[in-house]
Amino acid sequence: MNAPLLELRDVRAAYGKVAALHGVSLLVAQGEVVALLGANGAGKSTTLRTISGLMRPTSGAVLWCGER
Amino acid sequence: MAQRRVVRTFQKTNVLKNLTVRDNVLAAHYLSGREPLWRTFFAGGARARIERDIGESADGILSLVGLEARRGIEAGALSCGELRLLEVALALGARPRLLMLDEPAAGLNTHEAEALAALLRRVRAERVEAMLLVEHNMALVMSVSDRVVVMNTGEKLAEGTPESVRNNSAVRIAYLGRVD
Repeated sequence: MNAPLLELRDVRAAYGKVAALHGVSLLVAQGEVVALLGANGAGKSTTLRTISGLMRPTSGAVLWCGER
Repeated sequence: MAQRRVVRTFQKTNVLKNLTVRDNVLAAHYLSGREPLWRTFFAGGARARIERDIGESADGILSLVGLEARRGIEAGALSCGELRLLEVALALGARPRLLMLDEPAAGLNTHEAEALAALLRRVRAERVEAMLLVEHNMALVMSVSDRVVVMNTGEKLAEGTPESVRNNSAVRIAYLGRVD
């Protein structure tokens, strides 16, 4: 089976001492449209920031086609 | 990640308002690194070919997003809905494999949001391998998504098809219930 295009594995991220993501795991497979829903402060934009590399996870991994 | 062709749009529009719509899309091709700018300094056939290819690509994208007729006007003169379409066009200029959209329907009326949903379905079919969408517009989310991930205070609260998430009681209490 092919690796997903994008995978977040137990990603944690923080703004200074304020934790923003508490271990988020997420898969986006080839051909898929995935929506992130949530109220303000839920961590949606922080998730996008960690995927695009604008923010480094404090732990966990962001994998592209199965690779870091 | 950009080198892996992950491209995102932002909640606040990022267009160059003093440039024409078409010039914005041309600039997106260069700024994305798809064609190194220095190559355009070479005279002769190579430069002409690069400029022709990028021009054709930009025109194809403008046609796809429905801004063909607006290509010659300054981007600052576009409506809010048209600016959102231009944002998608700029992202496509970088030929993303994964397109991430941060609240693309923010500020759009119902009609504009429906047009955006139709565009995103075309983009998915013709231009990208996958999309990740952050959006509050439920109608848009339900009509374009295969799967919905609901987040709450930095954690994943629920995940599933749009229909199953809509019917999830925890989601309704934490999020959907507030907007009903």
